[in-house]
Amino acid sequence: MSDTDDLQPTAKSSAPGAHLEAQLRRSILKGRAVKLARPLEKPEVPPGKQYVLFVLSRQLFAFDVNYVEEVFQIKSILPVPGTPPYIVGIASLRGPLISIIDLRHLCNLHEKAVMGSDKTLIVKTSSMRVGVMTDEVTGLEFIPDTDISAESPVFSHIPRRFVEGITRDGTIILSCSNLFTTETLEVNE
Amino acid sequence: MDADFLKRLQEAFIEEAHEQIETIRSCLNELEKDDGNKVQAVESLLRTCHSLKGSARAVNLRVIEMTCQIVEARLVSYKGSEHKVNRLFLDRMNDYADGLDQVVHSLEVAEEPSVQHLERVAAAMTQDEMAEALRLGTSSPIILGTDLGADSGTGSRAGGTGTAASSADFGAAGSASSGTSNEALSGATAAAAGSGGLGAASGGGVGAGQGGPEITIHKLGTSAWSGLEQTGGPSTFDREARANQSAYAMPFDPSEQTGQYVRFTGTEDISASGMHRTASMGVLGSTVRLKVNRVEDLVHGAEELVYAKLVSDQRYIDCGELQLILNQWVRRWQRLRPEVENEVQRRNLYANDHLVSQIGSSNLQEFLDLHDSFVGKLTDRLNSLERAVLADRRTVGTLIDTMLEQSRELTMIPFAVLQDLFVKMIRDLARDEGKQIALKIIGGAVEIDRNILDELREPLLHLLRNCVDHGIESPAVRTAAGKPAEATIAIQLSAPKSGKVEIVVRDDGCGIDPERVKISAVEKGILSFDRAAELSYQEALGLIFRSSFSTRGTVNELSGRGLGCAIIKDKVEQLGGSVEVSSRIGIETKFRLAVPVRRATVVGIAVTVGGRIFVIPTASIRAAVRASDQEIRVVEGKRTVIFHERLVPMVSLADVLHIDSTVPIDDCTLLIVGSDEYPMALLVEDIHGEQEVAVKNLPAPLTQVRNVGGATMLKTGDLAIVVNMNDVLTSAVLVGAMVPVAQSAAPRSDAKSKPQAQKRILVVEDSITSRVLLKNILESAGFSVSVASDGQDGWEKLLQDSNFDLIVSDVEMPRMTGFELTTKIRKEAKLKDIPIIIVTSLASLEDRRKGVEVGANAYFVKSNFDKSNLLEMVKRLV
Repeated sequence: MSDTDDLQPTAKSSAPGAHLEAQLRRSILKGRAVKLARPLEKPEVPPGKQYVLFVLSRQLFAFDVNYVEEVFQIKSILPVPGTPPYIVGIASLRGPLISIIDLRHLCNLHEKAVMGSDKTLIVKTSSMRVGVMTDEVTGLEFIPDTDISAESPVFSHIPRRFVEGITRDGTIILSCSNLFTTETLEVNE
Repeated sequence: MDADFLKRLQEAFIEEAHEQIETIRSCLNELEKDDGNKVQAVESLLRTCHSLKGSARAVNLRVIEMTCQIVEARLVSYKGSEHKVNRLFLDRMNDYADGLDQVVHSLEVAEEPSVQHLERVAAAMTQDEMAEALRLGTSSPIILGTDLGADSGTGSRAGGTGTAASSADFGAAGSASSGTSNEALSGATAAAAGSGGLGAASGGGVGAGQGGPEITIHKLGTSAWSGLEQTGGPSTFDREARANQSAYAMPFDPSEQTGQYVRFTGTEDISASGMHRTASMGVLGSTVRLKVNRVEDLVHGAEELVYAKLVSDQRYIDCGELQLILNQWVRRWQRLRPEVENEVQRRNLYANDHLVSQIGSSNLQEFLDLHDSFVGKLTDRLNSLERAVLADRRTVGTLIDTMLEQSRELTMIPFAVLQDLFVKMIRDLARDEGKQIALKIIGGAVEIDRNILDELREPLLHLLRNCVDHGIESPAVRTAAGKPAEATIAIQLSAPKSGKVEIVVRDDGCGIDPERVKISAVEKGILSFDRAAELSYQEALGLIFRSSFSTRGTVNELSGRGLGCAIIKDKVEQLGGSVEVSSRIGIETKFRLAVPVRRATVVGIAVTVGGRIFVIPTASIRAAVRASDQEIRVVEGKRTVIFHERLVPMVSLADVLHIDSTVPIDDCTLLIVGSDEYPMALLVEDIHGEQEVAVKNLPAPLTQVRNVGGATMLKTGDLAIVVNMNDVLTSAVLVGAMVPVAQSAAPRSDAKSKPQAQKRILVVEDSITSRVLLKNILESAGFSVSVASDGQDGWEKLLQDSNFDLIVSDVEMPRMTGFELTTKIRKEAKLKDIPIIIVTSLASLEDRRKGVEVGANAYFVKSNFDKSNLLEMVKRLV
């Protein structure tokens, strides 16, 4: 604030009008200073979570990062005869076996072409660990809760309990805890 | 106390409590025996209760603390005195152990500790004490400072060791205990267990003869554990324990960890008399405690090492291939060499003649010489590499085989570990049914692989349940027949021979009447009256192993729906064993089980089907022949092959697995599988070598997939599916019959992409075999089939998705029967019009009428089962 002092006209002995002018000047400058000033604390992060984004059938999806253990490049998948279409097969994850899931069959997505990428998301929930095939893994992103809306005609073809919501730019957030459960996926004959 | 710390303490407590409860039960068994070491048993009980009391206090389990206090006080009076432990006390103590179990178990599943049982026991024991004090005119040492409802005023309330029960703990039990107090009083004063009811109720105890060595536990000092545990274990406990010492005593050794323990004991020979005195409580050879999952990890690790052997084999083969390539090169070179040398000579001469630089050709000459020596060295190195690989393979092979053997030994445990479980079950059953039974286990020291034992547990429990339910008569009937009122069930194991051990379960009950069995079988539609009449005595007895069988008219809760014996046979055979039954009416029934003592490694043959490799366990294959060499005929629309002068039905494995295969039959191989009675020729495209196979279970969510036994890694490092031949044989029967004889030019469409306009059928059936059969029949006929595993499951599925064109349901199912399901369906608007076919083994008119009554459209009896009839009906109704 000492700057304002410096900016005062050196001729203090001028007429009362000059004094007024000085005051006005001071208040203007103060106003600017206040406007330009930044608060000392960092701006508050809105509530939200980190998500892993991936593409499937030209649609962007997201998983809560807490459920995604890693992105793994599956070398080869062994098909298991007599399993439902959403089970692509099994593969070896550095030793132990995991099942590989094709979400397109669970979410009624239509493109049935071969997957665009060998990058598989390894998802772990309380009941199982599985690999989810993707066309592309785009990366990690923070999505604030406010960006997510619960209803939208966009995902009406996907069973409702699998969807947590959709972001403003059309990324569908899937619920790992509802998707990767025994009830949904189990094959027991 | 910090919540996290309390939780860890509780976990440690639960662990300790399990052991204490086991010790208590063992001691009680000792007390039950006529010749048991009672003095020591009482001492041990005292110690255990005391220690349990302390631990319970540390984790705020007041009820346990209180009850232990009471028990301790009671025990003290028996300690070192002439006072004989009576029946009533033993019963109370058994209840006490049960009560403890309940509390601990409820803690384990993280519920509120379920303390009612224990509270009742405590109240009952207090009553006993007071009653006795009253009778003997002595003062009661029991500590309770609370009113017990009906009993206020009786007995003295001596101050004890200062643990006062809050009235809240016992309030609820107060009214419940008044019932038992009458019992207690009359039990204490009644001279003999006179009245049949009381005798039965409190006398339905079990005398358990032990056949096994005492199981001893050695605790290692903390230092021995420090290397084995991660940080955050004992040391954290120690520190925090000391910090909290003033408030809570830490009675248990902080070196004890959570987790289950495997106990090792010295083995014992089976003496000629077969009965064992328990060994002294002293040392039986040094023992070690280890967590079960660590041992299992070790065993799995050893099994994975099998791949090292396979890989080594592969390297040896690779070496051989390299040598081959090199040899080819060398041979070509040998042929070319003279020419090249001549050329070089010629150039030299030319260079000489024309005074042109010789550098080029001398380089060439040099190279030639270098090449020879290089190739020579390479060949030598390759040869020695090959020899080294072979030597390594042998060494590695031996090491791994030894390790595998030793690790399998690690998982051998004595049969006697099942003892307590059997004792408890028999005791409870006997009490419930008012029968008196003594259980003897002889030869419990025999060691069996723990996995096999695990699988045997259920069948044996079923067997014992059957014995009690169907075999053993009530005391009244027995005495009338001149038998002792107390029945005996004996489980005897003999020393293993050729890898199998024989387990004989004998009861001296009423035996099995073959005539009743035959009648029941005919009623159930399992076989016709004429056929039944022809059966021999043995064959008739064998009928009890057939599914859906029970000679009891009503559904008996204990033995299920008569499936007990069928389950036993299935399970035992799955393990690679056998079971047979013999009996003398009115005298005894004997079940003879033979099971392998160790798990065997699976050896399998790799085959190609639909271009992919599958592994079939060698044990399932009887022979392999080339299809082109065999005579293949079409009989009644089915392909069959002549093998050893028999007509054997032929089925393509590709068809069973729903995989496309376009390889012509002539190029294929036939595997003869199945049993002597029902052989089958399985068509596969090609077979490769045999290899040892470590079968891994399919990962979640693939709990059980038809035809698939698991997966394994091949020598090449690729994964392959291991085929479950039992499933395949079941499926094959149907599929083979349905495939048209002429192979269509277009490949069969994969089952997964069937057209949408298909009719949908829901099959509701609890038996896996029947379910698979029905599904196969219907799918082969072109329907889309969904399955449900019982009535409730079917109902839920229908609520979710009412879009079915037909429902095929069994009747006898757990949770909801077919009749109940049909009734519900007919009441539900969305579903009431769906046609329902009931398929079952019940053949009586009554049931058929019931079926129509509840609204089924058709009723099919399984034994009259003709596929074509069923399909006709299905097509008509859909």
